[in-house]
Amino acid sequence: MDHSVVAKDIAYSYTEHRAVDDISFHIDEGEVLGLLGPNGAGKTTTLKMLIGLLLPQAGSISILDMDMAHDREKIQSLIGVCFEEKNLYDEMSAAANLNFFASLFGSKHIDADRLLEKMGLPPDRKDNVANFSKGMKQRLMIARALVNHPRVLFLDEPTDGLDPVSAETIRRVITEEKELGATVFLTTHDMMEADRLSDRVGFMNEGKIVALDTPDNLKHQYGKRVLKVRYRSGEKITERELSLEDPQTGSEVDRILAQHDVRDMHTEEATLEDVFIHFTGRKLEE
Amino acid sequence: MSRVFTIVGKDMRQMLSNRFIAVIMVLGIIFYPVIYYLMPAKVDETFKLGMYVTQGRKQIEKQLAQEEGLQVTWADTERQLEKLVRDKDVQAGFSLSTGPSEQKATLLVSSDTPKEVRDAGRTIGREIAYALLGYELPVEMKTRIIGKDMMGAQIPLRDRMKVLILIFVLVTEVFALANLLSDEIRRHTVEALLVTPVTIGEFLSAKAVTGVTIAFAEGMAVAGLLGVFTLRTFIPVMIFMLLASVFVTALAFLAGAVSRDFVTSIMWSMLAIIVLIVPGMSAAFPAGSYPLIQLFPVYHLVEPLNGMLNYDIAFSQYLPQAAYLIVFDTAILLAGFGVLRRRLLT
Repeated sequence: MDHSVVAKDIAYSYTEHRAVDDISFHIDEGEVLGLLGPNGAGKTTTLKMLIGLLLPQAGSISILDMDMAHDREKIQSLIGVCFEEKNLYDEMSAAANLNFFASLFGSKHIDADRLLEKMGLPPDRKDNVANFSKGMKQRLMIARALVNHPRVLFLDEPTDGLDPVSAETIRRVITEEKELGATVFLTTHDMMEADRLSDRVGFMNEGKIVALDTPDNLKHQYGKRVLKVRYRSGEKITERELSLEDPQTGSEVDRILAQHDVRDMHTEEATLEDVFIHFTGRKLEE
Repeated sequence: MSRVFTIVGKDMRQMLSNRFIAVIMVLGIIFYPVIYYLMPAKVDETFKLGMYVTQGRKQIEKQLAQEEGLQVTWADTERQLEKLVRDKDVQAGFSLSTGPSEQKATLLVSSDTPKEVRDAGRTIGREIAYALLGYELPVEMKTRIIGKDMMGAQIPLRDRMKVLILIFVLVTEVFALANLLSDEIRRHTVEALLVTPVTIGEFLSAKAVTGVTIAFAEGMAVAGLLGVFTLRTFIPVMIFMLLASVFVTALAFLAGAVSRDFVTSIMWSMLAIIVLIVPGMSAAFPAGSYPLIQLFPVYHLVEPLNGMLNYDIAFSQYLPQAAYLIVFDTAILLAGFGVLRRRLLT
């Protein structure tokens, strides 16, 4: 399979702080790669290098077989970017924002109404974006990222702090774009979202990618699968967590069932959170 | 190129939709011409003199009645004469005490009276003293006019102000463009532009075109309202206004690059204006062209505009100033580009 994005040994430092420390990865065509990590891990700096806003101080970036150092303009005509900051022109309407950005890509006529409808935004709304809610602005940001029918989409925390309806709309559109063949690079704090949307997930911590694989592989390899049992033992309720990897678990379950009044029992799948804790020793929000 | 003009179109709409900027631009176009037309169109050449004499008042009154351009206010005491001078009811006061033991002539002027008014008062005083005392003045005074004799055609203050108004109108653009630039940076909209095929060069060019176009259009509109255009002055004024527009745009680049928000963009713009523009404006006034002031670029705008519009001096006389401005504009515009580019890339 062709790689749409290839980052090779890229690095970037802000004065004393090494934000991105010689990382390498690739994204296949039509793949969604989720990059997870806490604040300050280097996700946004990585994204800024991938979209051509920062030049890597070391290493190289290739997108759609073009070198970012030499073909930045060509690459940027084929990508779409949604930033974490709501950097829209507030004094313009939603359609005017879309038309303005489309014209920068050389598109004279775009179907702004269709894009707005796709994002669940009212196409007949003529007032300025300044009056929009946070969720509406974010959906408009995604619409803006799509004005040039990009082959690679870069999304920086696209659902961060949004209401469930807006977040779900954005997740649906990401899935649709993937189905249409777009490659997606996604940074997020949301483990569930990364698990659901990403074909592969990378964990970033202190400027390095500490793990990169499919969510299932990562969970299988580094997560803990357990059986949770809650039973009455005399007057009190006891809760126990039994590892499914432990060969003794079967006999222990038999013993509990025979001796106690079991209230409930269920397996708990490993999560990406567990994987993250495995690699960093801390939770994502810490 | 089309991307540059697409951004220019957006910038124009954005600037005009900013109420503060729109208001100061419209006020600039309306307010300055109104002020100009409210100022007196002619110079009042009447010399107002206060007089106090201990004797011979009727004789002097009779003699002075024939003098043109002299308006005499009589005081009954020397103290009253002092008050007339202090209250600026007269430009100078002349007191003449003649008695058997003492003859004393005093010219009274306030501390801020210009030298030429003092000289005029002294001359009139001598003549009166001569008429009253009856002997020749020891010194014969002659006047030599340097340059065009403006007797009877002195430049009214409003025409001197006309040049400054043109510069002031352009100064407004420093605020407007600096704010537009700092706004793009602060709101991260510049990042949204720079991940499209728009290059930093195109972005900066678009801002330069926006700044120069708006400043030039506003400057020319005000120049038209002030009535400065004639067949002879149209092209020269247009050239200097264009150079001035580039200059204020470059200042805005510098101010916008170091500004964090609207308030700091105003502060930096003010600083740039105070340091680089205000001193040069004194060139519009007599004795304002002292050597140090020629270091300020605006001197090379004010001096030619003043000369061409108020003294009928030919444009060809000011080619060195135009050349200086072209070099200075290029340098400061490149500096502005450099500072802004550095800000955008970090």
